Amino acid sequence: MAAPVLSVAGLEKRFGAVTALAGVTLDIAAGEVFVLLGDSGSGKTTLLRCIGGFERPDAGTIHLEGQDVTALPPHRRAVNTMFQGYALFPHMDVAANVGFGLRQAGLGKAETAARVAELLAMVRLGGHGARYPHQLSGGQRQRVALARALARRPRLLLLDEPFSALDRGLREETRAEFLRIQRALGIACVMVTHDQEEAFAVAHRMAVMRAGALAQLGTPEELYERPASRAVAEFLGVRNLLAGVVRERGRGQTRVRLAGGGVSLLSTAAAPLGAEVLVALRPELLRLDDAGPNLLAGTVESVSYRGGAVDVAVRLETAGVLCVRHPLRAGAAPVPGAAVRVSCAPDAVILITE
Amino acid sequence: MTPRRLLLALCWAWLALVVALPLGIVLVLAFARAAPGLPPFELAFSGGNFSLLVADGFYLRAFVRSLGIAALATMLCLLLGYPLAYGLSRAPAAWRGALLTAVMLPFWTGFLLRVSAWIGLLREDGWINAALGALGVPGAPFPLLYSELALQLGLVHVYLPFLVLPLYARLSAREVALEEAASDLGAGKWTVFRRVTLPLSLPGVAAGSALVFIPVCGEYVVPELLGGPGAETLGRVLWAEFFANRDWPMAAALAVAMLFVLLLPLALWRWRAGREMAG
Repeated sequence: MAAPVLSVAGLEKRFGAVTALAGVTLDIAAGEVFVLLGDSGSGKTTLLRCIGGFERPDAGTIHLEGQDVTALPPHRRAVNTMFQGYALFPHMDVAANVGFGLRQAGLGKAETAARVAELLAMVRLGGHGARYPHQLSGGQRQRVALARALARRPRLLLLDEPFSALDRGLREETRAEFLRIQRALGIACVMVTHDQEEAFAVAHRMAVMRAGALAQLGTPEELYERPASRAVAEFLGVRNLLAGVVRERGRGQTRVRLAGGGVSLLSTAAAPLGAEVLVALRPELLRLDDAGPNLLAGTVESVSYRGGAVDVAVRLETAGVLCVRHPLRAGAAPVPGAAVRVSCAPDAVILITE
Repeated sequence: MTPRRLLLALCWAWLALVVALPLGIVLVLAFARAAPGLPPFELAFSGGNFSLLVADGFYLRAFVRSLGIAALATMLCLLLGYPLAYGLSRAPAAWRGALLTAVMLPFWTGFLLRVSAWIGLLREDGWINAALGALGVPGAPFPLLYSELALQLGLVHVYLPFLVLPLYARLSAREVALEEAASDLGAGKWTVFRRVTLPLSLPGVAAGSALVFIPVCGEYVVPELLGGPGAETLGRVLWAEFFANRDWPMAAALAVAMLFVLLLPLALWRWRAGREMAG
C-alpha cells in the first residue's frame, strides 16, 4: 500500500472528567472514503475535530502525508471540513462562500472567479453564484458547502454528518452525487455519521466508535458479516442475536447449542470449543421453510409490511424472537399465531465471540 | 373580550396615553404662537417656528453641534465598547455573569450622582489635578472641567452600557462553526474576525450605536454639568427656550424637528431592511 494520506496514532483527548478519545490509531489511504460510525458521545466528532485542527489532542500524533500536523492550527492544514449544518457564511453570496478559501490562499479576483465557476459547475450550481445561502434549498446549500470545502484542493476532506440535514428522498441522490465527485477527484475522505445505512452506502472502509475507541474497523461487508462484539452488531442493525455455546468444531463447521433449549445450529464460522458465543442471524437470510440442517420452530407473533417483503416476528420455542424478512414472491405472508419453521444456511450463521 | 384582546387593548391604551398623547400635545404646541400669559401660547396653525428654525443660524448650529457630539460619543463608545463586548462574549461561562454585572453596576448609582462625580474629579482643585500637581507635572492644574474632554468623558461613562449590552447579546449568539469554517478555509485569527465575526455583529453595532446616538443628541444634563459654553446642544437650547424664554411653541418645534431628524434615517433603514427581507 502507498503511504497513507492521513496517519493518526495513539490519539487521546479528555474534556474534564470525560474521555472523548481513548487512544485512536488509524490510517487513511489515498482516494479512500472512510466512515466513522457511532452514537453521539462516542468520540467520532472529537476525532474529526482533532484531524481538522479544532481540538488539540492530549496525546498522540496526526500526520498528513508524512508531515506532523498535530500542533498546527486549522488554517495551516491541507485539510478541509464540510461542517454539520454546513456553516455557510450568511453574509456572503454563494460565489464569495466558495471563493473564500481561494482568496485566503492569495488567488487573484479573476482566478478565483474562474475556479469558483468551475467548482459550482461541478456541484451543478452554475449560475447560482450571486444567491445568498438563505435563498437556497437544503440540497443546494449542501452542495455549496461541498464546493467550498473542495475549493482549496485539500489532501483530505472531512465531513461531519454531511447528509443528516436533508430529507430522506434527497439524501440518496445527494450521496450518489457526492460519490461521483469524490471518485472524479480521487480525494480521501473521513466522514462522521450516526446513520449505519449511510455508512454502508458510502464507505470503502469504516469503523464503529464506542467510548472514544474504534470498536471495530474494516470494510462494510466485514463489519456487517462478522461483527466483533454484541455492541457493534447491535449498532450496525444486526438483529436476531441468540446466546449459545460452541459444542463441536471441525472440517470448517461449528455446532452451537442455543441457550434455553435443545436446539443447535451449524455454522461455517470458526469459534473455540466451549466458548460462549452470540449467534447473529440476518433477517434477509432466514427463510420460512423446512430446508437445510438449521431449523428453528416457533409461532408467528406479528407481520409488518416492508415494500415487496414482510418482516415476520417469530417467537421461538426455545427462547427469543427472530425477525425473518419474507419476500412476498416466495409465497403469501403467514398470519399471526401460525406455527412456522425458520431455516438458515450454515454460512448465514454469524458467530460473535466476545 | 378575550384575555388576548384585553392584553392588546391595555398595550394600546398605554401607548396612547404615554406616547401618542404627549407627542400630539407637542405637535400642537409646535404650530402654536408664543404669547404672554399662562399658558404662554395661543393655539394657531403657523409654521413660523419651523421657518425660524431653518432661518436662524443659532438653531442650525445647535443641531450640527448636537449631532457632532453624539457622533463622537458614539464612536468613542464603539471603540471602548466593542472590545469590551467581544471580551465578555469570549469569557469563560463561569465568569460571564459577574462581568456582566460589572458592566451594569453603574446603573445602580444615580445618573446625576455619576455625572457630578466627574465634576469632583475634573475641577481645578479636583482629584486629578491634585494628583498631577503632587507629581509635579508642569502646567498643572489644567482646566479639565467644562471642556470637550469632560463632556465626552461623562457621555461615554453614562452611555457605554447601552452599547455594550446589545452588542454583547449579538456577539454571544454568534455561531462558532462559522468562525471555525473560516479558519478551516485558511483564514488567520484576524481575518476570521474581519471577514466573519465583525460583519455578523453589525446589527448589534447598529442597535448599540442607535441606543447611544439618539439619546445623546437630546442630552441635557451632561453638557449642562460638564460641557463648556460651546456645548450649546439641542437639549440645552430646548431647555433655554422652554424655561428661560418661556417660548413653549419654539421649544416644541425644536423637539419635533429633532425627532424628525433622528427618526427619518431609522425609518428609511427599517424600510430598506424590510424590503431586503421580503426580496
